[in-house]
Amino acid sequence: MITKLIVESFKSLEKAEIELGVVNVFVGANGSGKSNLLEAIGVLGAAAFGRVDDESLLRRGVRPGVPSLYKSSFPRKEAEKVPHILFCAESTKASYQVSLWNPGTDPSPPWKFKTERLRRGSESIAERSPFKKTDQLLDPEQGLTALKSFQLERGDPARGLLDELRNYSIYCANTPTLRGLIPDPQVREPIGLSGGRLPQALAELLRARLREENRGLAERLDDIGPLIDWAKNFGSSYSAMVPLSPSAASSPRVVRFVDRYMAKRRNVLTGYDASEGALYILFAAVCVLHPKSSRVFAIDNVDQALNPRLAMRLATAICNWTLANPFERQILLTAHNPAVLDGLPLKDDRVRLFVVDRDSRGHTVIKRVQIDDELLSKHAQGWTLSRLWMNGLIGGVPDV
Amino acid sequence: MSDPIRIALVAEGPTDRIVLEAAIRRLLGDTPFKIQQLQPEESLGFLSPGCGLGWGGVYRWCRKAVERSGGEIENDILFRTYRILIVHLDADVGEEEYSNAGIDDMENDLPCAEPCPPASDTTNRLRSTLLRWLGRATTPANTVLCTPSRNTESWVLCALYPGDAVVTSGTLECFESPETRLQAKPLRGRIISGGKKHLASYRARQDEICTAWPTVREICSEADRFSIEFLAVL
Repeated sequence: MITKLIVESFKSLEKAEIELGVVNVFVGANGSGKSNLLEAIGVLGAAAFGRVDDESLLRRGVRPGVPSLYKSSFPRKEAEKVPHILFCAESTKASYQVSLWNPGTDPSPPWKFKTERLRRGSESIAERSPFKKTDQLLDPEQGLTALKSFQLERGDPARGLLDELRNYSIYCANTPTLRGLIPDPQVREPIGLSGGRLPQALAELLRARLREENRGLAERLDDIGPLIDWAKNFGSSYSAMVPLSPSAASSPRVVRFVDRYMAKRRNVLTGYDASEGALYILFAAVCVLHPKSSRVFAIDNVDQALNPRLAMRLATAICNWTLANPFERQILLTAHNPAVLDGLPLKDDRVRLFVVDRDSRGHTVIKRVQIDDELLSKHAQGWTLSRLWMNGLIGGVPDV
Repeated sequence: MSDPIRIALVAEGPTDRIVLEAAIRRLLGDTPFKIQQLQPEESLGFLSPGCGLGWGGVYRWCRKAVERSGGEIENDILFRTYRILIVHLDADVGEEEYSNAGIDDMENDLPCAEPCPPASDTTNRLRSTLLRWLGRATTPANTVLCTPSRNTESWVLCALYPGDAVVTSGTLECFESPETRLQAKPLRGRIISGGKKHLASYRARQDEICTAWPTVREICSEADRFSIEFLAVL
């Protein structure tokens, strides 16, 4: 699990340092830098993989950008200019730090490694510096740590951290992909970054609950049904077995719902026809609960297309699923719906809420909202977190 | 398209809503209705871990509604949309103290449990407490109080397992934990396991509760009282 993240000179993150929990929710104005923070981990993941180029970034859900956009470009004195972008992730027993550079003019697609440092506790496992003569002979587009990591044994905390970073990705579902109308540009197992492969992933998830090693999964899956209150049940079927318009693009499998109110034999509908909210719920459930999901991942705009009360319940469900998950997931979420805040069990230190703002210089600033006596006194006066946020009292709202 | 009877429900939890919806479906027959569970505006982050809405949520909702309506609950804005307000509180709340739900209430009219039978000794006192929460001495217009004894699961046990020894004993409304009886039922169709109420299972058996409602009314006096009072406000 990533316990601390440091980002410097990346997009609007001039200097950011945050301590992460198990479920981390970021709220803030549009353009405040929430997605940049998620992408920073994606860049670090690409570096841990050994190559930071467009393909490697896209695979992790990071928008590739030219160096002039990736490097923070705030006005500053010449002496303060930093030529590289820096990322560092720490777990309790390991840390990985990398700085990357690419010239602003005539850049090459792969970013070049300037410094790298992988540590197990205080012990250095891999280190690279532009000032070391031997390191100057290394291929600057190839990560040294990625090569050295093959020598690390399974169970080594440094390898664990690298694996978490490499497999990290940012999910951001969209309705046409969830409905199976368009292919997912980033197909992954268990589910594509835009929600592609949802029917297959759902089928796998429902089958997984029957396996002994996934004890407890069935109970968590029971929480999904009540979130889709119009459906009697849901699942995944071969598309030939369900009513589907021939003009609808279809994959071999489709998500299937049984409508609670319709007459028997005419109450089955597919993901193509169903409410999009139900698809986003299933998408989130697959991301969190599927045994093959990444250990660390992000869902950007987890609340999209959801009614506020449903968004609140989904937030609670994601927290419950994650905290009880035997696969030890760590999740980063961004949201815009105030109701999400009311669904977070924030008295549990593993669930953390961060508000993201941009200061007078345009730098992204991230502040954790902790439930302290002052906030509790507001609660006693009848305030909720959603209303505190909407009123600007905890920050993270635009000046519009 | 005729507008359905719109019913606002303030209940302790989501499974209570499923049971009450089944009862109302039986009482209204083919008349369309829309039931909407109202909840107090609340942040889970402010509540103690594991503490959901529960009866404390019913209390907070009532106090907020009184404040919002200037003490005239029958004039509350909810009645612009809803024709009937149902407020549900299980009789076993009569054994609670306000502090258990983190509530600081000066009246201190809880606990209020009386020896059972009869169940009505406790539910009558609890209804007075509930009315005080609503700022009233008598039941406001278009409002129905629902106080299952000892709790909604007594009604569920009666509806789904009419042959259960506790149901046939004639003391169901005084039996302390119908949940444990439900938990001990055959796995197929079991609605509570490991102390957790399974919403999906309640939903799956909602039709059975609806069908068995006349039996529930016969055996549980509070189910009958609720049915009579509900039909009276229509």
